[in-house]
Amino acid sequence: MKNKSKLECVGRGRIFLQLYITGMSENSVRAVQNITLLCDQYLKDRVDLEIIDIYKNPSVAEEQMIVFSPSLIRQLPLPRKTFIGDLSDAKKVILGLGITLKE
Amino acid sequence: MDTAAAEDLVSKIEDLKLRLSEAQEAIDAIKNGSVDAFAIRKDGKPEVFTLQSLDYAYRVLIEKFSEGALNLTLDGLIIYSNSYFSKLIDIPNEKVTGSYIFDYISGESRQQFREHFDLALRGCSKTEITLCANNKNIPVYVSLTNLQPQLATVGMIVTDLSEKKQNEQLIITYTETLRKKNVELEHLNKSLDQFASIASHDLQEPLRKIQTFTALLKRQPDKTLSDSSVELIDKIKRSSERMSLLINDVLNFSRIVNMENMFVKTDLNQILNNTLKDFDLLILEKDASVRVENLPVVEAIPSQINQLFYNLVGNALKFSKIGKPASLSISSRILPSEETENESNFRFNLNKQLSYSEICFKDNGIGFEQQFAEQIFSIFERLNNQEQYSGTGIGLALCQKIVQHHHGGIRAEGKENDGAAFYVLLPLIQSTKAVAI
Repeated sequence: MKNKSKLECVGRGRIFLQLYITGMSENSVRAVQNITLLCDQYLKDRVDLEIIDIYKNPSVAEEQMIVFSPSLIRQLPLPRKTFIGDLSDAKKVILGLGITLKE
Repeated sequence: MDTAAAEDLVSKIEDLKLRLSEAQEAIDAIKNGSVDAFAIRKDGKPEVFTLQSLDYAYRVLIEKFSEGALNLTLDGLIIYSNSYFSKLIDIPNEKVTGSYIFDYISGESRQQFREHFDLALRGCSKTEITLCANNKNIPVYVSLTNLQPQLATVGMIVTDLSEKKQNEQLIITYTETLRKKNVELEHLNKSLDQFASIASHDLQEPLRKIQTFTALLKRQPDKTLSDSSVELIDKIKRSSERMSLLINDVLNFSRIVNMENMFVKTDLNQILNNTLKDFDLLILEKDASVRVENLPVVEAIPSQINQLFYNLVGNALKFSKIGKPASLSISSRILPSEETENESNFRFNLNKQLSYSEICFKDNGIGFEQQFAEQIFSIFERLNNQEQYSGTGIGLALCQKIVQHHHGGIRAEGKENDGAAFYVLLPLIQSTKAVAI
């Protein structure tokens, strides 16, 4: 967290993320913590985050073609991108999301 | 060389295609539901992950639960919320998960919640707080349980108290209305009794005049009045006597409540003896035999008990069978506690903590049909015609009022033409906690 103040996200467009989880399962819980932390740190005021429990509504998973949980989907900006796992590697997620961080 | 490189690339593509199709097949298999579990080597150890998870029942239960169920990190981040909680605060579940619990707690409850949250980190804690979401305050009861060290989280159960609070408020309002009505009623009752007392007192006055003047009229020198006039004067005299009796009874009836609660230790034997002395002549006249058992000492108002006994003994003698010696037995017993319980459940308003004496007045008179056993205590209720048996119809109503004033009960048993029995329940001591009837 030391580099929190140094790093800043480049770009202005809004980002819409959806995290699909399954209840209180271990990886889901971790993914929720990781993505909230990441958004708070780097994407504040730029991101809309929805966390969706597919146990509560299994048909949502089908509609969104989710196979694995947890899955993070970048709905906007297009193209849609999917990440699988507990999102513990913040750097990889940020890179994958196509967000450029500037020192 | 180029060909070799191209061949190499082609084979690489083939290899990737194969791996892709394998991966696609695996995904399809999982999608089809034809896979039960993964067996994976993790950290050098084989592990099995089942797809149909075993916690299904718990999950469904917690989801369908009519209370809010949350899982919070130690910072208060909501990592899980069941549907009930998001419905309660009226915010979509997708927004609730990943937000902080403190955002939904009203300002005045925040400090208190923080304290209990910290307390929960050392075990568990419960408290009442107010949630605030969408500008709506929701009173809730929260129960926090530390899930460490298994999980670095705190479980939170939220019970909606809105309805309870509303009901509490309703009860308070109802109680207040009831209290006001009660005061009003007491007031009305008092003025009614006072009215009866004053009215009957004032009614006596003109009546006395009627009686005096009819007496004077009758004492006129002979022959000024015809025989039929004398007969009419006698009728007036009898009627006014009855009216006087009636007014007196109404007066007595109204006095019961107006009297101060002067309960003193009262030997019922003594009062009964006095009553029986009053009836000396009538007892002789009716050739009555009276059997009396030992009666207890109770806390009572002697003058009222006197009136009670007077009426009951009087009734027994009055309603004796014509041409047959009357017999009256007066006995008592301490009511066993299970009978007190029974009586208070089905008949009277008794205090189960107190002991009651049951005094029984049993006669061999004309009795009554059991179906009238309750009716006879109503004021002005008479089962028998006035010709044969005189009375105002207030006697038993008065008895009931006296007994109720003593926080006891009275009931009657009878058979047509085969005697009557009156059971009087009186508490041995007047509890200050006794419920006024």
